[in-house]
Amino acid sequence: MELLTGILTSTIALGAIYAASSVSLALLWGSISMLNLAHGAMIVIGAYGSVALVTGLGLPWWTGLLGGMIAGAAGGLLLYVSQVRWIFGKANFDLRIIILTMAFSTIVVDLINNLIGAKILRQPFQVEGRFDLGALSIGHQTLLVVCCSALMVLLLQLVVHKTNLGRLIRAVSQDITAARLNGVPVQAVIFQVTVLAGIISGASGVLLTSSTTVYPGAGFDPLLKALIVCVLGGLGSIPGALAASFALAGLETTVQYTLGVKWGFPVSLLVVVLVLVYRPTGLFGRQELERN
Amino acid sequence: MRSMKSRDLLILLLFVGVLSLLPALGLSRYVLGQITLFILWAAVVSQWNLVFGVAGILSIGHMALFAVGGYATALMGLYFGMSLWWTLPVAALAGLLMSLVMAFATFRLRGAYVVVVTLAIAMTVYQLLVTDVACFRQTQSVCYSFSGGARGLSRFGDFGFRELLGYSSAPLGNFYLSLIMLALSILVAIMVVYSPYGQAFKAMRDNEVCAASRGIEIRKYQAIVFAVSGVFTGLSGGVYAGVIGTFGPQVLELSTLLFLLSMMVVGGRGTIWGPVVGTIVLALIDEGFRDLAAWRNTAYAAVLSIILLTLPEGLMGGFASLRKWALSPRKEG
Repeated sequence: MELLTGILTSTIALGAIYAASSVSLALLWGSISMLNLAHGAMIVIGAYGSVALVTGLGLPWWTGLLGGMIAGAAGGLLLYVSQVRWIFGKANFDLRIIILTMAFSTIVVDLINNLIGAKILRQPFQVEGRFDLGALSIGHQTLLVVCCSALMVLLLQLVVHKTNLGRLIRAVSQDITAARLNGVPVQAVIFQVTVLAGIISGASGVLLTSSTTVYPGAGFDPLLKALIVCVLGGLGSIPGALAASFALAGLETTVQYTLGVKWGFPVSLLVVVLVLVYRPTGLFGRQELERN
Repeated sequence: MRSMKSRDLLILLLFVGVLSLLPALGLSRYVLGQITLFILWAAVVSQWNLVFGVAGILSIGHMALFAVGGYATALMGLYFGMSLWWTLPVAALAGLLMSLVMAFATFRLRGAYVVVVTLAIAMTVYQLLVTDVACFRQTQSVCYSFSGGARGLSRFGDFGFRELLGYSSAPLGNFYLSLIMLALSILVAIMVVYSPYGQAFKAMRDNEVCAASRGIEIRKYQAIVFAVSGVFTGLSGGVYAGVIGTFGPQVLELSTLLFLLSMMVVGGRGTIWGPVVGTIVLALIDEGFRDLAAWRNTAYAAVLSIILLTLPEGLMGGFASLRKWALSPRKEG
């Protein structure tokens, strides 16, 4: 029983974090077919943004999330200005942006390493204490992270489905040419999507590092996990990413509790690969139709 | 077509001939070592390019094939005390097996899915290596794990050039062995690109739907290109381990991946000579940043970005379009 509740609470906590960090990948791929390997860099930028605001300027701890969002927005802006705007719609955009964002994240990690230093920092976005509900004991911190993740995902869904920007994003994702012909300012939409994804990644970076630590390479592991989550859910599908987050979190914690921590990721990867053999576009993915 | 192939074979012959004369310049031990290292990188990138550039399968986990080859050689040298020459076939076999794993995992996948799955496989291999801390053998007070963990393996023997050529000439042996590896790697690339397979790969890359509708069995060809590349990448891994003398999980790190990817993309992916040109460029940058080691990765990444933003087909692609532009008839005035 204790094992079961342990697995359950870990799954919810981990799944919420996965969800928060994978929806921005899903957003970018779904709207502009961009596989953002700089997502890990955005996570780190966000984590450092929070540290800068709270530890650096001495503001209250909860402003950390805000700091992460601002830093993430700046990162998204930089990504758009330095790369996306120059090659969007050009030949081989999808391949080129993958390699470019990989280069982008290398530069970011190097800059942090060289300018701030490789020192391990503490994420100040944290609360103390635990709730005790009989057999169940949940830390305030876990609850905070779960609530923030849920709120973020909910807000993103609202933006995509209820706002004017969301309508434009969906138009661009369905057919760029048609969107352009109907007067959608495509470049402006892409700019807003990139910055929005940066904000989400930055905020998720704060949530992610609140249970670990802040260091220059802190974004890589979450990036890899978010990629696997998105691939399982079907690249570009936000509901798919949410479902896959909790499925993988459940699998990973179960394996970690039974076989040992080390095997959590390898086993999840194996399962994802096997699923992909049967469903090459993931659980919720669309079959892409290519025009020749 | 045939003349193109002979041209490339001729270039290969000249290129290897010129390189083989390099030690006659009386290079220092350090410079010769660096050249040997980059020759091996060029051999790996040429093979990676067959999968990534020529066949258009976006596998970025290719270093996993290299790593299993290197580990096969290092482990057999360490635990069985075998001459490293005898471990090379095993290294090639290990590369083949790993490549078949990659091929199986990506069989039905496309584009970005292939990128994610191959990267994840390579990183899983990396994490399993780094977290391997269980005591396997004990020497005096130090405990070593089976794979050497994050430290990697060393002192597993060499190719015996020291006994054969003497201490001072041993680097020459390593240099020529690496050069043979590169020549072999490029030769394989030329054979593949100009074979009927090569034509099928190009067709697949340029338009998969049309290729399939013309009876090209995509999966069969994917498995073949992965297998060929796996054999020679694994072999390069074995040669690398023996030449360098240490082998560790660092070859699977993201910075190594980006470094080799830069060679391919800067030179021009999908071309025979792109990886070689890219390696030369990256070697020069590497040398230029010798005193600024902390900024090395930034330099590679910056060059890679600039090339991708301006010359998406790399230097070879830029060269080809320049030649096309120069040779095309233009209107006067």
